[in-house]
Amino acid sequence: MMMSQQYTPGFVGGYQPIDAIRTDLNRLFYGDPRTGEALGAPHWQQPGYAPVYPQFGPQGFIPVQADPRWADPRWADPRFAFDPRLALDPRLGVDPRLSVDPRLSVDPRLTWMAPQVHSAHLYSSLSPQVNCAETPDAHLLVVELPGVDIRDTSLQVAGNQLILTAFRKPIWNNGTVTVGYYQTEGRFGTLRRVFHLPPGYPASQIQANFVNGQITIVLPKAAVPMGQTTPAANVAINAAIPAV
Amino acid sequence: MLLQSGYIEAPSVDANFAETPEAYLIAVELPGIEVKDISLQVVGQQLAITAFRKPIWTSGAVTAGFTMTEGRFGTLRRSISLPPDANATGVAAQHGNGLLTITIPKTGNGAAHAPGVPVANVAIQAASL
Repeated sequence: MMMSQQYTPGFVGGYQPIDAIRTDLNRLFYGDPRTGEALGAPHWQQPGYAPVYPQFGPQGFIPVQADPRWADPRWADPRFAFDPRLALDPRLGVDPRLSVDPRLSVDPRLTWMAPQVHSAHLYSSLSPQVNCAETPDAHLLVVELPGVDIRDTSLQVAGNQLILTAFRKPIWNNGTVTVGYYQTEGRFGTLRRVFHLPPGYPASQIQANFVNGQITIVLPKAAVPMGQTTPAANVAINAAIPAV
Repeated sequence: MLLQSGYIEAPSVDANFAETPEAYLIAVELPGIEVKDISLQVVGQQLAITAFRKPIWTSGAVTAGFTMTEGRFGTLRRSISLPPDANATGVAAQHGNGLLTITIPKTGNGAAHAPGVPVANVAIQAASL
């Protein structure tokens, strides 16, 4: 190591670069010793640079007596005792200490996203294939259901779930001839697919058209009213004869 | 008598097979494809199905691009070998409800090989099931 240093031009001693780095760090932390200037906090920590959001970020130490949240008498009320099971499963309920239901206080327009499509790998033989499309006005769910009678399809809204159920008979049907298959590669039986809608999405705005062996579910991107839950409803599927 | 499905190219289409004493029946799944984009040919003792599925969603003048697809798009091919007693000249096809239903009548003389057809296009009728 020491032998290689004597061939390096302009390099004298072993600690010069480290000293230079240390000098820079010292200037950064303690200011420039030549001018005596002491650097303060960086500019993004200077007061007035950015608004302070007290509900986010690490909070400073607040004395318990000084925090007005502890003045709430419900902390001593056993009716408002927090059940830790609620933290594990939000379906059990909401923290009773909260005055507002957090499930309803979220603006669904802020949480609008494309309808979530669960992957069908687990039950791929029972799930029809779905293709998602998007227009400026609506999200489209195009479900492939070849050979399915429209009378055997149903589309239901339960909560924020959109459930498509169809039944395909394993029968070769030409109108006149009806025979069972001896070899199949497609999907038969009860076919089900579940989509997740944005919370509070009204079922009345959902349209469905069954054309040429595939159902197109139209979900308009209209504004969703705040804080509404949708009761269970059936969605009518319109039959449309494809233009030949 | 089993109808052997022939050489399968990827992406392929699913087909389902049935049989009556008079004919072999095949139902090819082609959802969302128009009749004019499907061609059915008999080449010798082979049945060649070619279809093109547009990778866009259209309804009238409205067009939308797919953001996620699980199905098959583009050119879809499938060839199916016909059994020896299939009458290659009597192939009939119907399309409706996303299904191409093919009827292949039997010659009736057992294992005797029916004369194949060099190349013949099969007209596909539109059916509303």
